[in-house]
Amino acid sequence: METKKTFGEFFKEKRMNTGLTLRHFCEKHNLDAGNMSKMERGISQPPKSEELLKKYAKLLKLEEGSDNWYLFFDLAAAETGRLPKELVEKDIVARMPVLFRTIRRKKLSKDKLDKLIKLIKES
Amino acid sequence: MAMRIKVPFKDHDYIEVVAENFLRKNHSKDTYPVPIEEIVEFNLGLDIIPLPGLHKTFDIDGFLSSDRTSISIDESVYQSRPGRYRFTLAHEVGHFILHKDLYGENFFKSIERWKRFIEQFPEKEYSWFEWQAYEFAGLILVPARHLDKRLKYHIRQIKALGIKNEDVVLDRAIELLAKDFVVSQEVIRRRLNNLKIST
Repeated sequence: METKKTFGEFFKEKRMNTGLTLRHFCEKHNLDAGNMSKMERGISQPPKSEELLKKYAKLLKLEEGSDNWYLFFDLAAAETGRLPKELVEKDIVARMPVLFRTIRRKKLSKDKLDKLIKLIKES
Repeated sequence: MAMRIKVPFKDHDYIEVVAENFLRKNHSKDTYPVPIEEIVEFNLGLDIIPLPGLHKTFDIDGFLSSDRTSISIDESVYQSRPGRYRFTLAHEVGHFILHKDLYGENFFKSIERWKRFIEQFPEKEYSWFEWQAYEFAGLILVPARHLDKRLKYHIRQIKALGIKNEDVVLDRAIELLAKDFVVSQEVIRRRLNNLKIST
C-alpha cells in the first residue's frame, strides 16, 4: 500500500509509469502542460470535479476499483480546501538559475531579474 | 570587489569522454535522435517546467534550477520548436553533469544574494561555462559514430542525383543531418568542425 505521497507526487509517478513524459502525456490527451506541471509539483490543487478526477485516473491507466484507484481519489480529497502552495523564499531561490544564457548574450537588468523572480514565484 | 569564480579546466576531449559515458549509462540502445526528454525526466529525475514568456520577455530558452531538480523551458519552445527544445535540454544537462560544484557551492540563502551573484558573475568565466555546456549538448545529441555514418550515406545519395559541387553536396547533407538528429544546422556544422570535416 502506498502512503505519505501527495496527490501530485502520486499523479507524476503513475504518469511516468505510462511511459510518457509530461509533454507527451499532455499532447496525447489534450491537456495544458503548464497546469499539469503545477499540479504534479503541488503548486496547484487537484481538481474538485469527480468527473475530471475519473478522467485523469483512466488516463493514468488506474484500474477502476483497485487500491490505486481509491488512493488516487483519497489523496485528492485530502487536499481539498488546501490553499495553493505558497512558495517561501527558500523554495524560490531553489528554482532560480545559476547559469543562464540570454540569446543575445547580454546580462539581464535589475528590473528583468525582478520580473524573472515574479514569473518563477507564479509557476 | 569583483567576484572570483574558478572555471574547471574541461576541454573538448575531456567533455567528449564525459558525454560518451553519459550516453552509455543513459541511452544504452544507442539510437538517434537521442531521447533527451525521456533521459531528463526518467533517468535524471528532473522536472521539466514550461514557463510562458521566458524567451519573449527575458531572451532565455531555458535554465537548470539552482537546486538541480528542474529545468524550466520557454513554453513556446517546449511546445513547438523541437530542435531548439532538445538542444536547450541537452545544454542544461551539460550544466547538471559538468558544473555540479558551482551549483553546490552557490546554493543561495536569499533572493538578494542570488541577485548579487548573478549581477557580479564575471563575463569571461561565464562564457567558459556556457561553452562547456554547449559542447556537451552537441556531443550527446549528435554522437560521432552516427554522424560519420549518416554523413557518408547522405553524400552518396546526393551525389547519386548528379550533384557534383562539393559545397552544395555538403550543404544539402547538413540539412538532412539536422533532420536525422533533430537539431539545428548550426549544431551539425559545429560537430562537423569538431570532427575536422570542413563546412
